[in-house]
Parts: sequence; structure tokens; C-alpha cells
Amino acid sequence: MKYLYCFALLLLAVPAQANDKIIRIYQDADLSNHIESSMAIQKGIEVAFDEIGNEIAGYKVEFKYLDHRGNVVRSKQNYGAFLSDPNGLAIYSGIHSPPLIKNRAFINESKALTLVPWAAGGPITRYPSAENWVFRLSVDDTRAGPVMIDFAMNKKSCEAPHLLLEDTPWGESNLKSMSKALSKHGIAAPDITRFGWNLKEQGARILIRNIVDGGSDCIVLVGNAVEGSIITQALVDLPVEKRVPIISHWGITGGNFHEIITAEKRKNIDLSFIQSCFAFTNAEQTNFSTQVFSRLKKISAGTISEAKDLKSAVGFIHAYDLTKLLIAAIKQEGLSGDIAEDRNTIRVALENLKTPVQGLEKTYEMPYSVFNADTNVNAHEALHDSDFCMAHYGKNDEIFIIEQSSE
Amino acid sequence: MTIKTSIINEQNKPVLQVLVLFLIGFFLIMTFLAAFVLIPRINQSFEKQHLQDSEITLEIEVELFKRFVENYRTILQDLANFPVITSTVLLSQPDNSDFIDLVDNFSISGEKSRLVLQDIAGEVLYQTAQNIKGDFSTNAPWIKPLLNGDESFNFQLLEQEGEVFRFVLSVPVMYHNNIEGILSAEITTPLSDIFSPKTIEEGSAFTLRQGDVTVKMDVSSMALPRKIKTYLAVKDIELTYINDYTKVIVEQNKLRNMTLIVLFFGLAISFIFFSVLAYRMLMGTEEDKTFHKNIFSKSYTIPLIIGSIGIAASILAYFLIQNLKHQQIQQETLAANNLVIQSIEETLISKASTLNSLKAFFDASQHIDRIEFKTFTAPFFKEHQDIHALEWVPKIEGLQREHYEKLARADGLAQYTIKEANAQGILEPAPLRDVYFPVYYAEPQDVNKKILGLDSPFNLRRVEAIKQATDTGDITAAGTFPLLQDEQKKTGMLIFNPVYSDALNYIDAQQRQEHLKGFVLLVLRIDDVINPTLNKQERETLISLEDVTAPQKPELIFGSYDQNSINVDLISDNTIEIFGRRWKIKAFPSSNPYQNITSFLPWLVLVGGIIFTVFITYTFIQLIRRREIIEGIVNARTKEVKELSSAMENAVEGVSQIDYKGSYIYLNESYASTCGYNSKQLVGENWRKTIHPDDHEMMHDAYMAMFDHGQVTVEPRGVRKNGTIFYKRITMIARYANNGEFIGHHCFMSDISDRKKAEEEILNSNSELEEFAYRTSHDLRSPIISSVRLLSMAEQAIHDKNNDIALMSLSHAQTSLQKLDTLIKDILALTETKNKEEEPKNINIDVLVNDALEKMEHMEGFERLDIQTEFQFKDNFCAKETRFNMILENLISNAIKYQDPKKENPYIKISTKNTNGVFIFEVKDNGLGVPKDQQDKLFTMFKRFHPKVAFGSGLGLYLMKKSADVLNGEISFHDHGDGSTFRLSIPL
Repeated sequence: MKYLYCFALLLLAVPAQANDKIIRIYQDADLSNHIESSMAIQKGIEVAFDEIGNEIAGYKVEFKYLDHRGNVVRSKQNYGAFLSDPNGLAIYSGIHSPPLIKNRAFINESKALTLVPWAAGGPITRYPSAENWVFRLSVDDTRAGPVMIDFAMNKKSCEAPHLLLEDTPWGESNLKSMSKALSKHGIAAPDITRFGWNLKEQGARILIRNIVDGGSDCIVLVGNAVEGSIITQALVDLPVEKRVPIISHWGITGGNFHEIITAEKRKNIDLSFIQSCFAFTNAEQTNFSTQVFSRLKKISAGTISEAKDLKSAVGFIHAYDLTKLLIAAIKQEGLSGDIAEDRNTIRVALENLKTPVQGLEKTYEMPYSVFNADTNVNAHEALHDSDFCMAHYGKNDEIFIIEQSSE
Repeated sequence: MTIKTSIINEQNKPVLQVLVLFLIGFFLIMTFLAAFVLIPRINQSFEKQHLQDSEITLEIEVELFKRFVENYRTILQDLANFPVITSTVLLSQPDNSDFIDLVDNFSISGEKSRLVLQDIAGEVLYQTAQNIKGDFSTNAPWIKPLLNGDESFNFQLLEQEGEVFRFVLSVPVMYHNNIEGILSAEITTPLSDIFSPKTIEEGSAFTLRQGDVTVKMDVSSMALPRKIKTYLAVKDIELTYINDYTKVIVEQNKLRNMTLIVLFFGLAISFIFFSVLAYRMLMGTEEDKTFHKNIFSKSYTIPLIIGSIGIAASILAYFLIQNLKHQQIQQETLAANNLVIQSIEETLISKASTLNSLKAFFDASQHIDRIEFKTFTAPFFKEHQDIHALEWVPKIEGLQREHYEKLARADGLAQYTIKEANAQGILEPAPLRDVYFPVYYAEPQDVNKKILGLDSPFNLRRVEAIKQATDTGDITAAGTFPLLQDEQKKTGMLIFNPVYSDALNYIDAQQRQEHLKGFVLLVLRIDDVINPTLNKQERETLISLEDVTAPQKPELIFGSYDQNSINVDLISDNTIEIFGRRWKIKAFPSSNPYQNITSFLPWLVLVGGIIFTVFITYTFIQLIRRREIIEGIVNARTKEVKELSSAMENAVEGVSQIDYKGSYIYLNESYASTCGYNSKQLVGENWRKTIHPDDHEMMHDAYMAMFDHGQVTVEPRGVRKNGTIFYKRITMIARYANNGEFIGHHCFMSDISDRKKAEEEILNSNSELEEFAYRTSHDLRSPIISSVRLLSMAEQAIHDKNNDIALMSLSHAQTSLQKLDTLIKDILALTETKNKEEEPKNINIDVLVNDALEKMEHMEGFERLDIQTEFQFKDNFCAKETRFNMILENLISNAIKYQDPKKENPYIKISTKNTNGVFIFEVKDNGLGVPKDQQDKLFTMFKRFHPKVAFGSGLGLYLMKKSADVLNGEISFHDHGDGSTFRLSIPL
């Protein structure tokens, strides 16, 4: 018994000794309600690090995923855990913008190196400080909104679009960008409806019926998969002649939307949503993307064999590309072992990447720079207008890009 | 009843009475069973049932309370599920106008809601009013379990303000089955809204307790509140159902009194019934008496029943009245007890607010100096005169001891040092320790000066209390012990309230220990708590206070009582849980109030009832005894009469009663049968019918003589019904009524025929004897004298030598002597006939007649007789042969001897026949016959009708008559004109 006790102590001591050689990559995301998007992000991170053998600058890379379930307070608590971890180098966000927006000051003041592969809220990366700790490689509402509005007005021939936005800072940021875009189409005062989280079926039916009966001929939706699926279901429940097209933000693709609004239901509605332009389902795949997918297949242990198997693929794509940028930054500056110093070093390195980085969306050249609220508001945005496309679901729930935003 | 009775015929009356008796008996048995078996059982069941009912009520009320809470929880949960609420907590963004509109205008049960929204960190995001009560701090112990999903809601009971119930209900804000925040509502509602109105209307009350907070309804009106507690499965809520046990006692008493009343009236009715029964038994008809005797085999059964029932009824009445009095006293005593208990409870509970105020004082200030402490505590002593001391006991680390001691000395306490009591109770400086809990401030200082500096850990109980108070944060009492600062060393109680370094609530004991600043300490002298309360009471009530925190080791704190000397039903007790301890308070009267019952009414009823019962019973017993005496006399008389009657009935002599008219009114069988009647035939007949007419005059003379002498005896001849005559001896005794009036006479009669016959026989015998003597002397002397003369003549002749004359004389003398010989033989035969005893046997007539004829062949003239025989009956004739043969031979020889020589055809006819059961033997001849004038003397002695024809003794026919008598027969003579017929008749 005495020897067994000593052995147990020894086993416990080993990881303690290896602690110095670890960097821990965190994710603070909604692992409950929008788990598909969160898991896609995790896979993107893991595949990118897998390419370098999960080791960088002499540090083994470990991953720790925390669930904020969309709650800003819990997200802040998760950040607390990250910040207190002496090996926690960077923290990825998930699908929701509100935690990032609400806690933006805290994040920046706490010097928490935050990488955003999904959340689209405009203010997220626009902390009014040169020392900006949040880097995004995702759709940015400030630019996604106009893309969606243009698509609705031009491609879907909307004349009376209805802005259906969740009552959150994310919805708020979209309201601004979309209102601005609509004004360009001659609609100064668009119809707007806000909805809260936890919207239920009955509320959604009332909401949709009011919109349709109010004369709107299309719905521009900003919401996540949970509420998005309830709203879309309410539309599906309407008579065919009353159904109007939905042009959605990409939040609906972050969860099990495709399982609730199945392909069969989707046949009878006109649903399109914004995505970044790369997709594994695109007809043309490069060698690079093929290799990345091969690696994905390899580490997913058989759960993913085709492009359609990868749900919320945009999360994977953005996370992969963002991780590639992180790796490049680490490689560029190295790690000191002082986590606070390393976080700042990497932050600075991200703003000063010297070499182009090959990603799935594109090859990134100086994707980030030092933020300036007046002169460089997109300094921490890796994607641009040209990187946004509209997409739709395929029969097998895969996502097909249908239009280049640049068109 | 009347109608029924009227239609019941007399035959059914006994059945009805038996039925009534049965029913009364049944009723009494059942009532006694009810009183002594069923009622105690029912009371036990009643109490058990009451407990069960209370438990059920409690369960129902618990369920109602749960539903009440659940109802509010549902309302609140529905509100929490509003998307805007969810968004607000998820986004931590309470400035949303939709949200604010919603929560600010939301109402719960018609009242504007008072809501608090907290995020998952416990931070208050929004509250609809600033003064919402309840603990909403981030460290509130209820938050974590709620956020973790361990609890589905939280219930915080708030301090009571009047008869309203206030609580805070908290529910999680859910988003897709995940908890994202907490929504709470402070709810105020009347207590009566929670619990069943009916239960409250019936005088029940409820208490809700959660931790230190207790909400209760007014129970002051309850004389004997009885509590049943239950803990709700969640929220550590204790719900107590309180009902007035007096009601149970009242119900039990009602039941008991009702039973006693029923029993009493049952007994009273039975008493009356049996009294009437006894009266009827004593005074009623013979039929009633017989009936009652049949039912009650013993005469004294009914009086005994009456006595038993009457005494039982009296005792019952006594108990009934006594019970009512006891009941009243019991209720008054219990009410007084309860008042005392409640008062003591409230006194103790009120100390908590004192301690909390003092604690709040320390919480609100970084430092409180000695003057401030004195100033702050001064009002408490005015308000609570039972507080012996209020103290501040800081936690002092070992290294700070000297610093604190210096500060205290600087405050003017020159001798201040941290000290402890040694084994002898003498205070001495405390040894070095890591931490001290000395009395630093103590007010009033003048009486508590001695204990300033006293380190609390010197006593194990204090150590335990300090630890418990520190770890729980609750007010904790340190049991009881003699107070060092008290001259009289009276028992005191120390109550600690911990003060921490800040006002936050700490989750665990370790945090509390780390942040402990010290204690505010309240010292109570038990006497001071209890005695003022007792002194206020009108009744002299005693108290025992027992610490039962450790149930297996209860400790008496105050008072004592001898359980055996106090009626259990006069003791009230209640166990209170306060200051971390359990105290059982018992209140009881100082003396047995039952002993002070001075009412004479029950005794009056008891004694009066018993006296009345004894009187009635005694009366009946006396009546019965008198009746028994009379009955005894009557029975004796009856027995005598019966015996006399029986004797008379069975007497040989006849007895009769003859009225003054001479008619038989009674006669016994002997009398009647003697006269040839049965008794009934002669009743009403005149006496003359039974008296020979020739003797009527004799009877008349005797009757008259009876008037003169009261009685007379006479021997008249009686006449039987069949006309036959008999002699009877009659004794007549005159009968007179009580008024002296002659009403007739008794007539005692005996048949004296035999005596008369004997007398006649004696007379006859005397005559015969006289005649026999005369005849014998004459007939015997005559031949002797004749022979003597003849012999003298013969002698003379011989002398004279006259041989002829001599011979002739001798021959005559010989003849005379032969006659004498014959005479002597007949006399001998007569004697023999009288004395000879012989058994009857079958007689062959043929043989006897032939033998007789053969013997008589040589008699003179035999050969000329025509002897004829005709035996029609000759078989199966049974008689004494010698007698019969003597008669037969005499009759035949007489017929031969006295044949008529003149007749040419003399004959003798010998015949036998059976005529109507009578054997007839006849000898008929045509001989000389019997002269008519002598035929009536035919069968007398010495009668010779033809002496010249043949010599005879004259005894032959007499002898035949005697022999015929011996044969129970009769011999008779018939003169048929040509001779004689002798007939012997013997009944077969």
C-alpha cells in the first residue's frame, strides 16, 4: 500500500513537471445549444495543430473547451479560468457575439488573447484601444449586413424586406449595418422585429404571421440556430402561398438547425444564408483544401468521410485558418514561458505577421494590424467583403455556396 | 307504547316483561361495558385518531403549503421563461426596455411584483424595488444549489410582520434546459391564504420555521396548544401544526360525560323499573308473584339489583359532577400553564433580537469602544430586566493578548488581564494560548466586573458553544452553569452570537472561523427569566426547564417536579428549539388543584343517592321479610292443613262437615265410601240419608246434646247406598264462626260394624256359654244323677237280691252313661271345631258322600231309605275338607236318623250345584222334619226336636252352623212341607 501511494504521487508529479512545456488553447463557446458550430471550431483548431504535431516552439499543445451556453456571465467566468491558467495562451470564441461584446472591455483589460472564428458582431473587434486583444476571422456584421441586404434586394427581388433580428448586441450591430444598406436601396424605415432568446413556438408563429400579414415579402433574419429553427418552422407551418424567402445570417448554421428544418421542409421554403466563400462542398477544391480535409478525416476517426459530414463547416474553416495564423505568430515570435508575456507577444505578432499564411479561405497576408478606431476599424478582421458569399443547404445538409458576394 | 300495550293480550304480558327485562339487562351490560371498557378504548382511539387527524391535517396543510408555493413558483417560473428575461440574464443586459416594462409591471396574485433578477454569478442584475427583503448576496447559501440545478427553486422565509406571511421565492431562469440566472420574487400574503381556512376557523394555527426565522399564527387563545411538526423535504422548512388540545380533552370529556349521563339515566330508569317490579312482586296478584318468582329465583334478587343499581347510579352521579368540576379545573390549569410556557418562550426568543441588534452594531462599525458599547447596550437592560449581562468577547490571537490587555487597562480597567477559573473556581491569569475569547466589555459593568477578562474556553460547554456558533454563524447557547459573576452562583445561560470581519455570509465553517471577530454574548440568569413570568400569574404555577439537546442525557436547568405527585393531565410541556439547543419547558400547578375542590354537591348527590337507595332497598327487604314471615306462617298453616287434610283424606275414620242445615259440605273419601258413596255424591245431601230411620231420633237427641256439650258421640246405624246396614260411631263437634254464630258441625265417623258384630258375638257367646254351662251342667248332671240313682237302685236290688231290678237298673245306668259319653264327645267336637285350623283343598264330593253313606250303612232304617245323589257341580270345589265333611256327614246321618218310619218311601236326596257363583250343597228328605215353632232355634245348642226317636246331644246343627261360618258359608233350613231341606251355601 505504501509503494502504491508513492507510485500514485509519482504519476501526479510527472504532468506537473511537464507543465512548463505546455501551452493550452482554450475555447469558450456554446457547447450546449450550438454544439455543432463549437465542435467544428474545435476540429479546425485541432487539425491545424495536428499538422505541426501538436507541438510548437517546444511546447506541447493542449486544448481545453469551456461551455458558456450563450451566457455572458458564464463566459466571463470561463475567461477567469483561462486567465488564471499559467499555460493558457489563447482563447477561441464560439458562435455567440454577446459574450464577446458584453465582456469586450473585460477581455481587453484582462489581456486575454481572444480569437474569434465565428461571432459576427461588429463591435467585437473594435475595442477602442490600440491594445486590442480580439482577432476575428469570420463574418463581420458591419460588412455582412450589406451583403445580405444586397442579396435580398437584388437576387430575391425583395421590395419590402423585414428585418427580424434577435434582441441582442449582435442583432443591434446588424440593425445598424442593414438599415444603412437598406437606405441605399431606398428603404429608409424598414420593418423591424426584435426577438429574445428563448423564443418559443407560439411566439414565433405570432411573429411570423404578423410579418407576413404586414406585407413584407422577405425576411432578413439575424439569429442563431435555436431561435432560427423555431422561426423557420413557423414559416414552414404557413400556407405555401404565404411563405416568404428568408435571407439569414449564418448563425442558423451553428447548431442543429438542419436537423429541425430538414431537407424535406427546406424544399418548400426559400432559405439562403451568408457564409464565407470557401466550402468543402465547392466543386473546385485545391490540393491544400483536399489535404486539410484528409487530415480532418484522419483525426475524426471515421465520423467524417465526406464534405457533407462536416456540419457547421464554416466554423472549421475559420478556426483552421485562424489557428494557422496563430501558429504563424507563435512561430514568428516564439514563446517565453511567461504566459502573460507570451499572450501579448502573440497578440503583437498577429498584428505583425511577416509571412503570408495559406488558409482555406485564402492566403492571408498581414491579416491583422494595430487597431485604430478612427483609421483602422477593420484592423482585427481577417476576412473582407469579398470573402462573403450567400449559400444554401443541400439535400444532405451540406452547404453550397450560391453566390460570390463580389458579383 | 300505549297502543301496543293495549293490543297485547294477557298471554303476551309475561313475554313482554321478559323482553323488557332482557333489554334492560342488555342495556346495563352494554352501558357498563361502554363505561369501563369501551370509553377508555374510545378515548385512546380518540386521542390516537386526533393525532392521526392532526398528522393528516398537517399532511394536507403541507400539501396545501407546497401547492401554495408551487403555485407561486409556477407563476414565477413562467415569468422566468419569458424570452426577454432569458435574454437579459444571458446577455447580462438589464437595460432592455421590454424587460423593464415586463418586470416592473408584472403582478403576482393581483399585487405588483417585487422581483430580483440575478445572473449566474449571483450578481443582482435588476430589482423592481430597493427594499426587497431577503438574502441576494452572491454568497448566499441558496444560490449555488439553485444554479447547479440541485434545487428547482428556493424558498426564503422572511421575518414576520404581523399576521402576514412573507417569503422570497427564487426560480432559475432557464435557456434550453440550462440554468442561466435566477429570478426571485418577494411575496407577501396573509397567513390565512396559505392554510386551509376551515382549519384556521376551527382555532388551529401554524408555524413555519426556516433557520432562525419563524412565522407563526397567534396561539395565545389556546389553552393547551399541541404541536405536530414536519419537515418539508426541501428548503429546511419546518411546518408546525398547532391545535388546541383542550378541544380533544373537551371532546373526551363530552364523550365521558355523555356516557356517564346515559349510564346514570340508564341506571336511574332501571332503578325505577326494578322498584316498580319489586312493588308489584310484593303487592301484585298471585300471578304476578308467581311470575316474578319464576324470574328471580331468590326473593332478595330484586332488592339487591335495586341496591346495586342505585349505588352505582349514585356513584356515577358523583363521578359525573366531579368530572365536570375536574374538567373545568383542568382547562383553567392548562390554560395557565400554557400562558407561562408561552411567556417564557417569548422571553427567550426576544433575546435573539437583542443579540442580533448588538451584532448589527458590531457589523456596522470597524471599532466599538467601551463607552459606545455601554451606551448602546443601556436601553436593553431597561427593556429586558432579565438580562444579567451583555458582553463583547473578541477573538484575540495569542500574540495580541498583551495589546488588548493594555488597551483595556487604558480604558480604566487597571487590573484587566485575560484570566480563567481554576478547579476551585478562583480566577487566575490564563496560560498562553493561540487564541483567546475573553470578556472584554461587560455591561452592567458594576455587577460583571469580576468576569472581565475571563477567557471563555476555560469551560467545555463554552468551547462547544463557541465552536458551534462560529461554524454555523447562528446564535448558540452554551447550556447552563453557575454564574461566576453572581454572588449567589445562580444558574445562568450564556448565549453567543458570532460577529465576523465583514457582514458577508460565509458558505463553510472554515471561512467563518477565518473571519470570526468575536461574539456578542448575552448572559441570562434563569431565575430572572422565569420568576417574573411566574409572579405575573394569578395561579401559582411551577416550571421545570430541561435541556434535552442530548435526548439520552437530559439536564434539569430550572425547577423540579415529582412526577408521582402531580397529575399528569395537569402538566403542560413544550419543547422549543432555540439558540442551537432543545429545551423542554414543563408547567404545572404548585399544588393539586383537585384537592381544593370544595363543592359538596357531588358528595351530597353520592350520599343522598346511597341513602335513598339504601332506604328503598331496606324498605323492600323489610317488605319481603314480612312477606316471608307471613308466607312462612301461611306455609306452616297450609302445611298443617295439608297434612291434616291428607290425614283426613287418608284416615280410616270418615270426616265430614255438615252445615247448620244438616247438609254435607265436605266429607272425605273414607266417610263417603263407608256410606257406599263417593265424596261428591254426598255433598249437599242431608245427613238423614246415611242414618237408619230408626235411629233418627237418637241422632236428634245427640245433636241437641252437642249444643249443650260442644260435642257428642253416638253410635247409630248407618244406611249404605245399597241399603245395607252398618254400625257407625259418630262424634259431632259443633262449629262456630268468629262471631260465635253456629255454622254447623264436624262429624267424625268410624264404621263399628265389626265391633258391634264382635260385641253381638260376645253376647251370643255369653248366651251360648251361659246356656252351654246350664245345659252342660244339666245334661251332664242328669245322666250322672240318673246313673247314680240307678246304681243305687241296683245296689239296693242287689242287696235285695232282686236281680232283675238290679240288672234293669244297671242297664239304665249304662244307657245314661253312654249318653253322657256322646255328650262329652260332641262337646269335645265343638271345642275342636272352634280351635282347629285347616287349609282349604279340592274336595271330591262323590268320594265324600259315598264314604259317608258307607259309614252309615249299619244305621237303623238305612236300608229302607231311597238315597238319591245329583251332583251338578262337583269339580274345582275347594274348602276345608274336615269342616265340610262334618257338615255333610251330620246332614246325612240326621236324615237317616230322623226318617219318618211311617212313610213307605222314605228318601234322601243329596245334590250339589253352582248358583251364581255360590256352591250349593243340599240334603233333602221326607223325614220327621222340624216343628215349626222350633225352626228359628234350629241351629242353637242343645236343641233336640225328636228326643224320642234318637238320642242326640243337641249340638249337631249348632256345630254345622259353626263349621259353615268357618267355611264362610251359610247353612239354612227349608221346610218343604214333606220333610226338611238343609242347604249349605258357600261362595266360590
